[in-house]
Amino acid sequence: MEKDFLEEKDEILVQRSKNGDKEAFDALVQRYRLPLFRFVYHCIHKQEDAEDITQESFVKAYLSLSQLKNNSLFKTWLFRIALNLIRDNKRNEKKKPTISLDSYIEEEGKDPVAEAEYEDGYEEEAESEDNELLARLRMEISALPMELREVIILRDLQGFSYEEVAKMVGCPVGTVKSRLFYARQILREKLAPFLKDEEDEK
Amino acid sequence: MKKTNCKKARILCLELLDDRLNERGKKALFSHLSACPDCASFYRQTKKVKQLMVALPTPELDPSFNSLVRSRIERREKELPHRIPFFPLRRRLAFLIIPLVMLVFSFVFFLHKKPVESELLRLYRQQHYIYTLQNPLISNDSAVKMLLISGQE
Repeated sequence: MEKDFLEEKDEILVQRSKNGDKEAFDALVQRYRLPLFRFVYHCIHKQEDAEDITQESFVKAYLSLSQLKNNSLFKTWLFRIALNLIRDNKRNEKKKPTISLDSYIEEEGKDPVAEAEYEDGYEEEAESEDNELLARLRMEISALPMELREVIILRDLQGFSYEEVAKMVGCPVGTVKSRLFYARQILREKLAPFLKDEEDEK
Repeated sequence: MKKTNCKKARILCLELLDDRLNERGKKALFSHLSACPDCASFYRQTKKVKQLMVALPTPELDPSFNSLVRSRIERREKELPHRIPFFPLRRRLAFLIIPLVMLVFSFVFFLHKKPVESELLRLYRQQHYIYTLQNPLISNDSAVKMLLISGQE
């Protein structure tokens, strides 16, 4: 991929993609594949499905590029497509039997989060405590209602502003703020006993 | 009084974590946190949760992701290119214009066409007209009455 493509603004790449430049769209894929995958993965916690949804989001975006009026809003538009696919996935999942994260850990005998951290070479006590907290946090996030989960992941994990999150989820900024407030409150309450132990030790 | 301050302080904590608090708000918040251990604990815990969120690990993405997307797009484009949309513009216009023309035509047609009168009604009108011509001073109601009486006879 050409170097200057990677440095170009979204508006220019989107316009070039609309004109049929596939290299320009490749640059957009390169730019947003990781943040998009990260968002989708933490919403649904299934790697294979998350990869599939991420790919499908880019495909849908490419095929509907002509519908995007404001090229500078490509990022929020792309995440909106992904969010709709996640919601469809959730609806289809209700028809299929699901396996809980706890049963996965018991059956396989491993926690994917802890395993990933171990492979990275985390050995210090403070960091292993954080890994436990991370595993718990992941479980608590997956237990959140979908509308709260979407908002907290977009805001706290991805760093979008309230206005951007509001456009993506399709609700007013006030609703985003209140959902975020409740989501943070729930997570804090669930993790409080573990966070309290940390504070006591300190 | 303290309860109200604590409630407000917790909202300010969340605004501070979102970098949406001005200097005045920060000053008020920190002065409250220094005096209220519960709120201070709340702030520390909420901040920690936010830090953990950012640190959540994500699995590695397939290295061939970009080429997978490309091949998916190509496959989708092969399915779509020669598909004629069910409602192309011409067909849509036809569906709109034809009923409109029919409506206008029927409106004009029925407006100008005289209603078919029954033979009896036509005779009555004729008689009424002749009677009023012969008796110009008689009122319309009286003329009708006379016609009815003569009809019965």
